[in-house]
Amino acid sequence: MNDLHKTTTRHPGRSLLFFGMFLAIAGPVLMMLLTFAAKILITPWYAPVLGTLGVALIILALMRSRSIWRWTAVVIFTLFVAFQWYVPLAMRLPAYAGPVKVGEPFPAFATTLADGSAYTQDDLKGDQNTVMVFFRGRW
Amino acid sequence: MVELGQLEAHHDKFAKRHSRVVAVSLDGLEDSKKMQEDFPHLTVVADHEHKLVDAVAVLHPGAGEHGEDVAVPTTILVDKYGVVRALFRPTNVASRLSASEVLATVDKKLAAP
Repeated sequence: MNDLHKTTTRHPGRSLLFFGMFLAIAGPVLMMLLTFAAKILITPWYAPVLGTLGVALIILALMRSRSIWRWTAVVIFTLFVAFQWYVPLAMRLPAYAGPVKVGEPFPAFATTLADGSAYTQDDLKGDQNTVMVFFRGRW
Repeated sequence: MVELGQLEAHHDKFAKRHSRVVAVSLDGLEDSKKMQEDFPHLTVVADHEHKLVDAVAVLHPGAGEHGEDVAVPTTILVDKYGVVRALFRPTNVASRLSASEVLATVDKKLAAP
């Protein structure tokens, strides 16, 4: 008990520091788990939000006890979280402004299927609805 | 391919809704053929000449990982009469509809009257 009290007194705010670092790292880890394990693709706004909270806790820890290590943690994790904000903002997509309009016929086109056969807008008509997916690379 | 893999895994649910999933590939013909083998229950369009992607205006030139042209992730629901019933464009390139969300949209927008 006395040893614990001494440690806490010697390193005030250490739990804030560690929890802050945990939060700053938790977002990207959660994003990886959701994307590659759970296969849930959502905009990862939770990552920079958690990271910002984490940096705030690290700054609080610095205010409790100033050291070169805590200053270093503030700088590194602030840069890390700034990057976490940058990524989703840089990946924003413009609103759709093409010719496809809900309630109107699909635009005319003439392309081919993977087996080489022709595929046109007329193939969209028949006994089935169509879910047309334009995907990007690795996704 | 998280998105296509999910759609392939739920192919029976789309079939129950009288719906087929068409995946539009901008890769070369051989890659599109391979994709068709990997996802046998999807209909893969080999649109390497950009005829469909241009008609729909969803091409993102040079935005690929190696500077290649790619499609802006977009999902369009078309009914059996060839009429567009819904269009989904995410606000962020990292975001996608899950297969469950696509199915829910099919139920909502393409349910038989």
